[in-house]
Amino acid sequence: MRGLKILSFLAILSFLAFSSAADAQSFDGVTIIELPAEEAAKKAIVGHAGWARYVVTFVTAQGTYAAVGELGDKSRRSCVAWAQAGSYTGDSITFGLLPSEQSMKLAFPSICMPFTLRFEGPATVRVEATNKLEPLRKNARIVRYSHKCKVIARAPLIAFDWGLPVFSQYNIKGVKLGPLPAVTAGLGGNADVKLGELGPSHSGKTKSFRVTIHNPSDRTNPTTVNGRVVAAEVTGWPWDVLYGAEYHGYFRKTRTLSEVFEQAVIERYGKPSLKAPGMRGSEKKLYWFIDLEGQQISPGSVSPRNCLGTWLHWKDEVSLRAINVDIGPWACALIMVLTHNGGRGMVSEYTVEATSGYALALNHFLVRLEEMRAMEKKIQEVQSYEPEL
Amino acid sequence: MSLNCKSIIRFLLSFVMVLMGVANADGQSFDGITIIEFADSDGHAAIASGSHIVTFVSSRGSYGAVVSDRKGGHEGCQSLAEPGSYSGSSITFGMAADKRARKQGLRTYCPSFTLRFEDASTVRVEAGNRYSQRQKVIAHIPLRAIDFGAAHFTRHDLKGVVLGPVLNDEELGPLSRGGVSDKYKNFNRKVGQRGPYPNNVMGRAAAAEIMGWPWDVLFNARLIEKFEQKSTFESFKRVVLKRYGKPGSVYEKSDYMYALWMYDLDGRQITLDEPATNSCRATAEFSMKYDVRGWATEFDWGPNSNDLGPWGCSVVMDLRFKSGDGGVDGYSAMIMSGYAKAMNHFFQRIEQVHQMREKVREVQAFQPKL
Repeated sequence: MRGLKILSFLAILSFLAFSSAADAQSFDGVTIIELPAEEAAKKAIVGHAGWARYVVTFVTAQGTYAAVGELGDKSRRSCVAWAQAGSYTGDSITFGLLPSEQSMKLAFPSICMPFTLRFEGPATVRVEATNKLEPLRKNARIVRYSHKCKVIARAPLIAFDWGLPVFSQYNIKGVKLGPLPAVTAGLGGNADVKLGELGPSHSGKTKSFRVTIHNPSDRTNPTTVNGRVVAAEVTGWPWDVLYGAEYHGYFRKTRTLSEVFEQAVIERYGKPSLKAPGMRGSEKKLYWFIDLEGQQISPGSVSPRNCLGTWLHWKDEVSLRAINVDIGPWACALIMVLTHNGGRGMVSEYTVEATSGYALALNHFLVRLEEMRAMEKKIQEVQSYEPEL
Repeated sequence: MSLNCKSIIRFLLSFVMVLMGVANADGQSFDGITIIEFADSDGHAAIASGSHIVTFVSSRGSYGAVVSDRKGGHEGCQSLAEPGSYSGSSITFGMAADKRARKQGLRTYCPSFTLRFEDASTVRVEAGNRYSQRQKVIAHIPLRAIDFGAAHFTRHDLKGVVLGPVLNDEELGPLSRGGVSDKYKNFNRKVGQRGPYPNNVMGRAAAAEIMGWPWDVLFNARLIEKFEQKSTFESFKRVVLKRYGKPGSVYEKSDYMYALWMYDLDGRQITLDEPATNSCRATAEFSMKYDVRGWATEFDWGPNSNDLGPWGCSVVMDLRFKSGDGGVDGYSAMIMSGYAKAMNHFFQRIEQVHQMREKVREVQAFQPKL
């Protein structure tokens, strides 16, 4: 196990290594920026009808991605882009293409017009764009955008250590998040593991995962933990990695008092970061937020360096591991959510879900990079193709 | 094209020359097609209402009609020349008969009227002592040989389909039934494949058995081609211009282009600025549609029920494409020989009006027995 842990650490480092400076004001990794003056941003960057409330960027050695739109829970991308070659200096980067028929109409979302991001402080980025409004029209007028914008999340490229104690602590029925060899090694001999094929689904390009733990005392009711796995062929890691797992439990014979249940939960997982009402009146939700350094954080410690700055975008998600939009809990190593139906005093069922926001982010954005490469190729093909009549 | 094909086409050309009119071929002859302005109400009252008088004079018969450039109208009249009336510069059409006898269904046989050239661009139109007025000649297209092997025919092919003789009978369907429209044979050649769908060039050919030519002759063809790969608007435009040369008219709006090439009977390319004395320019006008700024946006390829069409053009081609979703993934193009289509049309008109004249004569001669 120790060897496996070291291997994972090194492999992830090599994947994450990026040529530019990795200081606090680098765009390496994921950056989420809030855009003021939405209408002006839309005119100068998007160039057509749509939304422009956020910019999300993903910058790695493998490629770059940016999206502008009403991202997050509404998931409305107005335009997307990759960085202009040679534009990245670490603390500034230029995305987008000069507008053409292809950049504006060939794909949906369209390709953003050029815009530059420049760090002016640890949590401040200047967003600048000077482009034509409705650029494909003749005599289109020039519009400019230059605003100081707030960074609401930064998930830098880090060596992600699946050996952090929190992954063991927040296991679900013995299933902990991490590389599959380590996950399966931690299961007993009475557990069956079923791994699905890699395929795009509503929850992204991942594999389904199921552990069935047989109970000798109750053969008809095995314990089942469902999960999602990021694939080695997407991440480039040496193994598939379980990044999200969920268990749904019933108290079939005897319900339990809410306070007794919650006390048992606290004994098992520690004091939650947050308690909140659930979607239904009888539901209660308990959250544990773990930042990228493996420390539990509370709602009062909102910072771009953790996932709480984007909380509003994913707090109502039914399943965090199924998030497939550009704003999610990326800057948290782990989020555990326990939902029970004891809002009126008695608990008869509960669901517990553990998700690595960071691993989910890497997988999500690496797939976005594939999209960008395909889009760039498609545009180049159209622009270089000469038909024969 | 093989030497054999070329020699076949040359043979056809010499045959077409045989069709030239029998009358004297000076500048004021009615041989061939003549289109005359006819817009005055006295003339309409004396002969028939319409916008033009159209005549077709050949050794196989002569046809004269009052027609309207308004689509769908049933006004006007049609007739054959009175035997022996043609002197070269004057000719008499129609028949002196009661209007009720001349009306046959939706069509009317013309009353007697005479056309006489006063100079190259003026014809006097007379209807007995009821009417005599000078009218302007819009176009005069003499019967002549058309070289289907000329460069502008071969240049404006659609995937190898060239207007002119069809040498492979398997590409032709049976003769259509005709009726109100002209008879023709459908042409169909597969020229490509896009996924499960074939790309075909489809067209219409004048039938040898009607024309008396040795072969069926393709007078129009259309291609709608789709590509697997899109290209840019500018790139596609460049390819079109390289392939077919500079158009005589280009309409470009946003991401849409409509190009038109027109060649007169001498094989000379013309533009919209060509003087109206050019018979291709003058007769193409009947098929042209314009936008408010005067750009040609459409060429009417439909059937010519009113005897007006681009008869003075040896070749007309249009091509349109659109860059809809970020690139051009196809185009549509059509080629037509206005002159060949005119021959197919007017030879059949003579037959149709011949039958009409016989019916009028029957009505005139009929003596009921009570």
